[in-house]
Amino acid sequence: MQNTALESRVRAAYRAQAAAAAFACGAATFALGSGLAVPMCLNAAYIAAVCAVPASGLAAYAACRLRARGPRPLLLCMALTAAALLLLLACAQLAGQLLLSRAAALYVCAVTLGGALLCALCGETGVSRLCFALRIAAPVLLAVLGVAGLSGQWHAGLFPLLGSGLVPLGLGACACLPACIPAMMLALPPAALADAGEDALACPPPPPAFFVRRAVLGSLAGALLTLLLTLCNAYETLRTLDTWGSRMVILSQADPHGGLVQELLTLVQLLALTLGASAMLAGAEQALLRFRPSMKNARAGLLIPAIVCTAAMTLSLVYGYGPLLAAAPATLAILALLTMIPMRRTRTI
Amino acid sequence: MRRKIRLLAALLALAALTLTGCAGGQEIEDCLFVLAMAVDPAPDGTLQVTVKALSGTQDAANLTLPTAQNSSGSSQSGEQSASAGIEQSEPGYITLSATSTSCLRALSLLSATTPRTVNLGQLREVVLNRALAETDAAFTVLREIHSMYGADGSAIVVVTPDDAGDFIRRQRAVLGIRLSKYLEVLFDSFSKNDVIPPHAQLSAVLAAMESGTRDAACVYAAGNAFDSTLVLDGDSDTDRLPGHLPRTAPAMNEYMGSAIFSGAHMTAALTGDETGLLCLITGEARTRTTFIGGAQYRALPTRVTRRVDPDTGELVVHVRMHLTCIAGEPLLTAGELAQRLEQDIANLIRRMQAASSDAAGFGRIAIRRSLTVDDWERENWEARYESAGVRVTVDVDIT
Repeated sequence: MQNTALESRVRAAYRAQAAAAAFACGAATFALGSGLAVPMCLNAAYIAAVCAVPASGLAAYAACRLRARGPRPLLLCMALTAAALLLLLACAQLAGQLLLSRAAALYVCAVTLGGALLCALCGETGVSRLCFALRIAAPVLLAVLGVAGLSGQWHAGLFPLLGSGLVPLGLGACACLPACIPAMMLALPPAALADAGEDALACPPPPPAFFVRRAVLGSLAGALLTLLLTLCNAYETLRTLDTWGSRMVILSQADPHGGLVQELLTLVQLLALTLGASAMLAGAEQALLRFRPSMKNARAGLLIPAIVCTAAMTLSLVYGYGPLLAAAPATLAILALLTMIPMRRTRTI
Repeated sequence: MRRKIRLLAALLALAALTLTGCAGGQEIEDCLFVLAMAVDPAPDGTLQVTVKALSGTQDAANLTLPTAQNSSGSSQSGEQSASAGIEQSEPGYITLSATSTSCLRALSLLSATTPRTVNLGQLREVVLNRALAETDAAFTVLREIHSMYGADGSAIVVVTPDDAGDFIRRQRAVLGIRLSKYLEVLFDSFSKNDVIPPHAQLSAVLAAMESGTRDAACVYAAGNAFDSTLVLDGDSDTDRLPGHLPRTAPAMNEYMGSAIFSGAHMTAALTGDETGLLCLITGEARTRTTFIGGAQYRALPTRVTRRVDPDTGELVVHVRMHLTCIAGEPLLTAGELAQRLEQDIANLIRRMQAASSDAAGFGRIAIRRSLTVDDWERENWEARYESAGVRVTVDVDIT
């Protein structure tokens, strides 16, 4: 009886963690798709974003294998912090585009960072449980509201099928591949199990297919959101959208239902990006605590990634988000590859 | 655990103080809610912007009459001028105008002289003078008011050969309803009769102007101060441009027909009948009853297929209609009706080709054969469209 209760508790913890990873993968796919793939590939950006789907599955599988041998915690912390920064920047750009259009950029960034940190204060357990609770509602709302914002001429946005051509499409696909980074948080056991005790940690985790399926679905949701985005405008209009925030707006009709559709859709998008960023911050905290367990009491594990994100966002206010966005694919890709190298097993004689 | 909860609660309370607020808020009384806006070209290359807005208590108290002559837009000091007073053509609404080098500056002048902030969020109608619409300035004006002033994207764009400012001055709400509702009902009613083009909203017009695969079509309207009735020649009263119908209603403005564009500027006007055919071939026809040859018919949903022949480049349209005679004696057989429709549709398409306007959206079909943007732009669709042959087939069943 006690074993059954413990097993179901363990399974629930892993399901919540997988839901958080799915949210973050989907948010990262959409952020890179709108930020980099749309200017490169125009209306074929969704094809580039789809390439992130198998990458997320592979990353989830690699993370599960890594869990047994132990990841390199400092590198994992850096990778998850970088992913959190990407999502925070995307969230700030979208919030400034529509909901806070008259607010100063500093205010928008502060609100975005504050919201994500408040969510991350609950720890990985709290964020994961919230993601698990919204795992059906959020994608359904995004789909329904996104489709409601399309016009009757939505199919015009599909053509030309390959957008700018094969070369830009390839580059866009490469730029979107690092959207799989959030799946690396699965290399760590759920924080809820650490609180539950050694017996819980000793329980075997679900098989890798359990996590791969969820990471793939999350990334697929992000790719479909990128598809909705490209269906909203002809390629000529996409070419003129020169800000990240305007590229994230999914609306092709003039204020359907009095603007309610657009407002609700923006709120759900912001929620997804914020939860993804919070999950990354919580995962970075957990990784840093593994590196330095003494930090736990001072909550410095969260403070250090928060300081890094604050500094980077302040730089983005001065120099623009362009350099950070352009550096994101290469940075995330290098960190992902380095993170996948497991720690050496210590020999005992 | 309790310490964490207390800390979180304290942070949430702090956030509630700092994340909310009304710093960006606007008092309703501080806004000049514009319902209709008109833009005319003025001497020396300037623009005259006339707006019809809700009046506030302050404006009603400051009303000085007569001011129509003052606000007719004559240029006063240099390039910029604003109306000396406010016209109140009907209770509850005021009309103001300003002249400046650009639409944005004119709106800023209005804000400065009112002194309320011009708010285009409730805009229902944008009226452009035809002379202005035939230049690329039309796109600039519409783009400015949409992106810089946040004009409501569902506002209908109207082109008139008259003075656009006088056009909106003549507009009055009838039946005692408010002007904003009157304009909504007006355009919806004309749209249901297929006498105005289907996608004449500001956001749709802007998107079409930027698109290389479809051209914009706006509502074409004109005033008719002619009070006596006319006996009109021809089968159809709507086979003409507005401003020439016998006036049987208090409203002096007639809305009928389309102003079709080629890129950013207007190139031709279509009559009400031609607009109905345009709605038919684009699959946007909403009316289910039609009068043809002395009889009234009810039409089932019409099937329309359009394509561009890949071998000959011809514009091909096939229409299949089922009609039921509900009144009168049909004077034409199904075959004669079909032949007449084929001719009318072919003439319409050729007319649009002559005006270099792809308002029917054949470009959106042609682009499907190109895989990349470079392939499509190398096709030079504009030149191909103008010289393409036209093939129309219509099948009609009458029961």
